[in-house]
Amino acid sequence: MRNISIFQTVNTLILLCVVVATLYPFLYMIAVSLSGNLYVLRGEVWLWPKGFNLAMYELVLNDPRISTAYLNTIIYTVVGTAVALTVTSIGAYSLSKREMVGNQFFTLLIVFTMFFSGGMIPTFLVVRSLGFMDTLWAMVVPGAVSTWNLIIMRTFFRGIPAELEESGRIDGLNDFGIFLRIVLPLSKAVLATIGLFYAVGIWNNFYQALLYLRDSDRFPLQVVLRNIVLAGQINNSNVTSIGGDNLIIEESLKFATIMVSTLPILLVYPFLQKYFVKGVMIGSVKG
Amino acid sequence: MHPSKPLRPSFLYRVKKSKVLLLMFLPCLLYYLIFKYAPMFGVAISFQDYNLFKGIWESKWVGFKYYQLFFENPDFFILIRNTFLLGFYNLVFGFPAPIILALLLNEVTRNVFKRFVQTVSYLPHFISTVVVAGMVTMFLSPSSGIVNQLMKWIGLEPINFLMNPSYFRTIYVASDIWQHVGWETIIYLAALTSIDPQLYEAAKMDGANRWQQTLSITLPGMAPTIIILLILNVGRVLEVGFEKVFLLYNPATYETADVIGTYVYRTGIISGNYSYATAIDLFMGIISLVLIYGANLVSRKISETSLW
Amino acid sequence: MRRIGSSLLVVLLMITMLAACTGGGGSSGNAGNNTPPAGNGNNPTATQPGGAAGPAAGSVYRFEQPKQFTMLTESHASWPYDPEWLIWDLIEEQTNATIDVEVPAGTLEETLSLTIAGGNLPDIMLMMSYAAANRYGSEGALANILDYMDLMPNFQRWAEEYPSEFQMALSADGKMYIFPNEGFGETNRMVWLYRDDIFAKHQLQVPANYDELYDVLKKLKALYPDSYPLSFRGGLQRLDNMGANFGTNNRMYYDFAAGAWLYGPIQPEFKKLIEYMHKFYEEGLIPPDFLTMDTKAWQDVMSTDRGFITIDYIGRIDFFNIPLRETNPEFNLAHMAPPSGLPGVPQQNPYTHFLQSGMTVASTSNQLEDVMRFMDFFYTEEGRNIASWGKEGVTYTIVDGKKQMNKDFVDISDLRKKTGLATNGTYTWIDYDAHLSLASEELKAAYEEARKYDSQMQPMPAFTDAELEINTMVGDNITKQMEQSITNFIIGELPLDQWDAYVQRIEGLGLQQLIDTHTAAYQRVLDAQN
Repeated sequence: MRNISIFQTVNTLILLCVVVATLYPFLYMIAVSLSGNLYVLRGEVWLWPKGFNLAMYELVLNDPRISTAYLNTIIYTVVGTAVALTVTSIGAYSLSKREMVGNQFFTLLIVFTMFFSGGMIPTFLVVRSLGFMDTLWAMVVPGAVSTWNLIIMRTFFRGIPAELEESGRIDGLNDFGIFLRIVLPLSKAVLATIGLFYAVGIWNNFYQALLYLRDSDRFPLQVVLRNIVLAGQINNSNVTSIGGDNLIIEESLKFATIMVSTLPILLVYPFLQKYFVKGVMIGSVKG
Repeated sequence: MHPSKPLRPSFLYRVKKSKVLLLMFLPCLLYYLIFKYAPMFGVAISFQDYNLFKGIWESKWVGFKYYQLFFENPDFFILIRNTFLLGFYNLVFGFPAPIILALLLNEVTRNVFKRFVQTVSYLPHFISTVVVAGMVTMFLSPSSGIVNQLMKWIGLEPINFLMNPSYFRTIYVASDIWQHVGWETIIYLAALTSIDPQLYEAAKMDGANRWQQTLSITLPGMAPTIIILLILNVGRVLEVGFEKVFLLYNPATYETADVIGTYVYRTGIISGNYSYATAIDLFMGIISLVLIYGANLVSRKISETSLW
Repeated sequence: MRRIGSSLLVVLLMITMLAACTGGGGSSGNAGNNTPPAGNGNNPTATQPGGAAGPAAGSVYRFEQPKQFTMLTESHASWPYDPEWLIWDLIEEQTNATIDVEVPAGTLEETLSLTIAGGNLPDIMLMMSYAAANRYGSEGALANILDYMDLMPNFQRWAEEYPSEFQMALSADGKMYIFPNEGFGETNRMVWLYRDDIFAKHQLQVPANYDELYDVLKKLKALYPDSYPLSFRGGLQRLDNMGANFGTNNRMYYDFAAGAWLYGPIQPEFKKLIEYMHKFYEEGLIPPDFLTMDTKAWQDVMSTDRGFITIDYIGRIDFFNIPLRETNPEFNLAHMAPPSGLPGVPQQNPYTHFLQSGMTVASTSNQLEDVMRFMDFFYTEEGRNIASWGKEGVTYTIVDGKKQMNKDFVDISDLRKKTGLATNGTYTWIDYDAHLSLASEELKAAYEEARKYDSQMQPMPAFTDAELEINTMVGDNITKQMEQSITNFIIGELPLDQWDAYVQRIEGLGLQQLIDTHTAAYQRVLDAQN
């Protein structure tokens, strides 16, 4: 069909604008991270690197803290996502069934926590008393369920036609069996989405590291990154140097670190896109 | 095929029937009890003169002192108004944006282009607030920023955006949309996949064009997701984060930009007055709860979907 | 994740006094720079009988058994904590104590509050301000240093030599929770800077007062229409520096002549400053976005000939000159004497060259006495030498009887990154000449010049918890109103004839309460001195 409608043209234009607006800052950061000190200092870098050099990336990649942090982050993300996805999906499924006893009560219980929390210090004290400090579990368990994600999953599960589940019951499956054999295969899109949300959330999370990690060998990337990014923000003493170019580098060092820490997680979604396939339920409703 | 029961089933019967479901819910329940409810004793901090070292059990009680201090602040209404307006504009403009973008993407025929746009559009979500604020400041600079350069080129006078209080809300909301719209389309795209394509086939045979199909099939198909997210977002209207405002505001824009979060930061966090910060948080939590209760009520009345 | 977020940098003062000089035949280089005291540096005295004389001042207490102390300090992004740093070795060499450093995951302030709430405190903790230390101290988390003075003869002697620094570290109830510092404050010196080469090129005169400043700025603007001749970062904070030119300040300050605490921004002298600022703004002599100009934007402006006069840290001289001369050999950013704002007001800068961070000791430490003895080390000559200079032959050499830092350190950042010297948590008492020796000749000269324009240091009394609360709550309201009004005066949103109404607004927000807290707090300081 070579017929290109006006709508398609306009749509494409709009989407191209979106692309430019969202892509440019990244290109800018990449350019600065690859540029020479002097050009950055003089604000001459807009789109292409000037004085191209890989010094900042060498600095970042050779930093021993980064390689440890990278490994940590990957472990936390993989384990954390698996745990979170499991707990959230079975919880969401059970919540999606109105016939479960106490459904309304539990929902209220959960929603209530969105608005009231004990605060940073009490949460810290509770987790500490569980003996999780400085362990993998400290990074995985306290973030295992996000109310937001839980509710979204529940909404999706509610949208699955009841007939499909009925057919499972007829086949003799209990609730868990229905969940495993029928519901999950139909929920690839939402599992991929929520899985992605959790994964990105854990990858970008530094709050939990702040609260529960004391051993610097266990720090994730975000801790290192935040330290570097914040350092350039301080408008006070002890950040100056008498001469030399350490502070000039801050911008390009900042961006190089951001690039290095963000790239992997950015690339996850394109791999998940194949799960976003329409019509997963064709042919599933029979009789 | 159950015969209809004349009496409401007994509680124990219902528990037995939902045994498996309850078990499936158990890990979640434990999580909330341990990590959300156990720490709630922290609410007590707002009624105390909290001594960090001695802890809650040893701190002095002061009753409603900090709540009162907050209410008596001369800027009390201004802060709440600013917080509410920022959140509200974010809701009004920021909520539909990803839905529209998802619909536009849905119309794209070339898969490669679609995936490309999707991937690129969520990139800004990964840029930290600090960097975003820095970029916004840079792009809007009256002397060297791109926006003003363009304006000069057209012949307009440069505008000092960040020092003009009437622009603050626009800048804040626009940069929020720019940063998050791509990411937020993901959930809507997922929702779109659960719509049965046969419905579209049937509609096309009835002669409906794309626009009519969108109205009668796509939007209703996405409705539960949209409604739930809307209710959740209404509940979060007052949660205007402090970090971005803090990085973008300055004395020239305080009157529209200073929000609860930044006020708590200046008076509660920096000086270590956790009691004050907790009291304010609690107060805002109550208001948010009222808001979400209202939204849920409305939703129950006019649609089949609601949070509870 | 609600509302966390202080991004205070932690300046960890590590008191590392390295006693490099004395004895130890094994140390490289000759002991030529210091004469060893009668006893050598390795006093193997065990426990000190309480109340007895203790080791003689000037000698280093070296632990018989190796000791290990835990410390919470900041790790700065530009010179991240490295357990292999030379400084740790030097400290261990002298005191036989090693430090087990804990690096915070977030900012120091966040981690500190968690650590203190958790109850498992490390022996030594860095704190970013005397106020923070006093707050935690009054909560009971920190040990009162004064209780252990017997164990710290060197600190006692130091206190006699630097009484005002010692006084500053006292808390509102006369205790001391944080170790005072001296010497490194110089790095915070802020001065006026100007492009000497541009001035020479156009035969402009360095202004001595604000009227001359205005003339020079006008001329510069005419010559370079796209520039904003007076460019600075930090927005209204620079009114602190400029306020001094008018004999006032941009916050609560103590007027020594009047013997009273005043609020600077409502003084008539301050109004004069704002009148000038308004004129500068209207005529494009300061950037229109002066409130949002951040460090990067300001660096851009200063290095592309769009700004010619500025106010910033004195170290900026080398910071700009060295790299920019590579492409423009004539670039010369130089020290400028601060112009005087009013007849009768001397040319002066505010006293900003002090450091507010310091080391504290946990009250729950089970090695309290040993920690105190360890800290005493940093107040010895040896300690100061090691903290500032390092080790002879390794980091510095003696040239013509004067110490000279090795030139393979490009600058202070480099020194810190490679050796850990002058990083948070490794010093209290610094010999600033060590850092100056890495500076260019011009910068050294600038320091000399700048000292001529020092004004008297403002007292910084310690407040009680109740006073602090008032300062925070009332202070925030007043500061916010002040900032808004002053900004509007400068940009012309508020005409200057509304000044009196503004003063009344400020006073109506409870200013008298602030004056009262400051007066009471300072009175306690004065009483203690008598």
